[in-house]
Amino acid sequence: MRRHLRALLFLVYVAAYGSFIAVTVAAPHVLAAPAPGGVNVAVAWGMGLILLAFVTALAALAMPESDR
Amino acid sequence: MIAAQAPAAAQGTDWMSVGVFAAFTAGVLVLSSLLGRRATGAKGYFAAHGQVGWFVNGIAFAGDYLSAASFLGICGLIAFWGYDGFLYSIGYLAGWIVALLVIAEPIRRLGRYTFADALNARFGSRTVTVAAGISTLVVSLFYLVPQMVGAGALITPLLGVPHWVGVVLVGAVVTFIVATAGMVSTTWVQFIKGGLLLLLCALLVGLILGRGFTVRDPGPARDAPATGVGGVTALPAWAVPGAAAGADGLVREEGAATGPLGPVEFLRVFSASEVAAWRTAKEPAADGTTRTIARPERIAGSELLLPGNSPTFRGLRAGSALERVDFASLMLALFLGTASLPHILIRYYTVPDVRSARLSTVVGIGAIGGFYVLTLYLGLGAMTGGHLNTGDSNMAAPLLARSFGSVLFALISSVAFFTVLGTVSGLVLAGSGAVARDLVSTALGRTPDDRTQVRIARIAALALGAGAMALGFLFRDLNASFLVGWAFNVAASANLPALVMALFWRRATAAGVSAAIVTGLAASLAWVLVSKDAFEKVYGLPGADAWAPFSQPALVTIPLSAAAGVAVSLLARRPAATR
Repeated sequence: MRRHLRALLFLVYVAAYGSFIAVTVAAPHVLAAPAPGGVNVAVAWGMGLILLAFVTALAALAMPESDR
Repeated sequence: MIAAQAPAAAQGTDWMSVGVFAAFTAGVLVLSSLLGRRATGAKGYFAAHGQVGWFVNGIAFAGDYLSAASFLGICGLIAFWGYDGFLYSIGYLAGWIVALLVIAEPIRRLGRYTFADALNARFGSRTVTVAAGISTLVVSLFYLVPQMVGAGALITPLLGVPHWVGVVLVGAVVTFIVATAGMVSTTWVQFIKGGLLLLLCALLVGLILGRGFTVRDPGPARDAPATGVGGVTALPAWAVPGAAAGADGLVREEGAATGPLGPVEFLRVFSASEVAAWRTAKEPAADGTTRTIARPERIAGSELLLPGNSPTFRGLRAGSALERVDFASLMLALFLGTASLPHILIRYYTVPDVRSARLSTVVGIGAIGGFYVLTLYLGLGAMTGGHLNTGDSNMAAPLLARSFGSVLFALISSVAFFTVLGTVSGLVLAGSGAVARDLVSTALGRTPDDRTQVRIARIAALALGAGAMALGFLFRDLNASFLVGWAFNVAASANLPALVMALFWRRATAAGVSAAIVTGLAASLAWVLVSKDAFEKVYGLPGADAWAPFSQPALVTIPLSAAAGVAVSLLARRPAATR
């Protein structure tokens, strides 16, 4: 169970990071669009990835110690 | 990329900086001598007895990780090119997710002192030990070069002494720290450095936000390097109430200021402003010679907050498919490289248990992530603060600090220098551990006793320190941050597929793991040596002649290493031990 949760956390982050790279490479105009808070998508996504890393770390910590 | 090309202008000695710097150095040396008594035996020397608390270890992770390339390089990149520097911040932090969720716990459970220990826990194979030991040495040396180059580049403008003094000073102090007290003192140096770096940068960002933006006329183009430049040339009318705006809604009145801004507002105002970004170019002069001219380019802030302004990432906007692949490959290397760096991996052995390993990673991610958020403000603050030197982007952050007074400059400068010192200590320790534990033990055919191991490691630390100094001289004209990018590529290619196989794949064999390391190491090294960057920046040849289709090898060499590991494991399926 715990392994699955960790794998899920990992996949969520990989999706967020991977799609950022994909958009930067293939559709950079998306990054110029306005985002909530008055900044652009590039800044919001970048800051979001840093925040998501910390949230992921806290979530990993909150998981049960071990089920093996 | 960091523009460390131009030798910093000769300056007088800043005695305040020298004083603060001397006090820091003396403090660290005394601490090391005191802690040296506690670092007895192999477990003390290599792993600080496994008794470091999770919080101290977490901040020490930040100390290990936030090297000169992070602090000076990223701030400088953002100060000149905007968002492109922040891409490194995003990639460097993302790598910690791999460390946290994939590598941290098995490494802590299986290993004792070195990266090879964990890799080889299942196999007990001499081949794996030697391959991992060599890989540790190569990656550590690759990572050492930019740190030493950075130390040399820093010391002249900071303390007004020649380049070689910087290299020798770092080499000597680090060798002393590592040789006397190993992991115990290295950990404390990292903790102090990591903590101070975070606190001072947070203070600096507070001052930047408090100052806000002021409209300044950039003046005409001039001979490079131009100093004391960089500023906002127009602010949005809504940010400067009462000022007269033009038809485009921008206020261009000299001295118009926003006053203090909040963190989100700061980015919003920057985005709506027009900024003088300084660009240098060689231009033919009337007398037939070539001059290097620095020229202010008025660019919309919103443009600078998008990727693709710097020469490195320009291909993202108008380049070929290969240039985009190159970018994706770099981002992959940053993502997978962190969890493959030996000096980061060995820090998992300093904590008492798996839970502490996890807790310290969380503290590390919090500290490092917080720092990377600050880099965007530091860089943009430097870009608009009016104190840039176009000849040395590495100095953007320290020069920004100088605009808030000489005390802050002295403190930031000393911490910048300690940034180099701390990272170099971690690398020398990782390298000396690999020599003493992995290579010498295998060569002798037996593991020497504790005392001998520590003695060998101390000698190896001295040799590595001397080697690092020599490389610092040799490569002093090279660009620090592209060397760091290479180190991540090589580390990820050589170590990550092997680690994942050894930790998670039941059918992996010792031969397969060794094949993955050797293939990844050789392929990524060969690739960077025939890449466009190497041709242009190392050999001084035209980049178009380079053999590699793009500069960052990770996208090709990581899968190659994994394929070699899987193929050899499946083909040579035999009982695990080869001894």
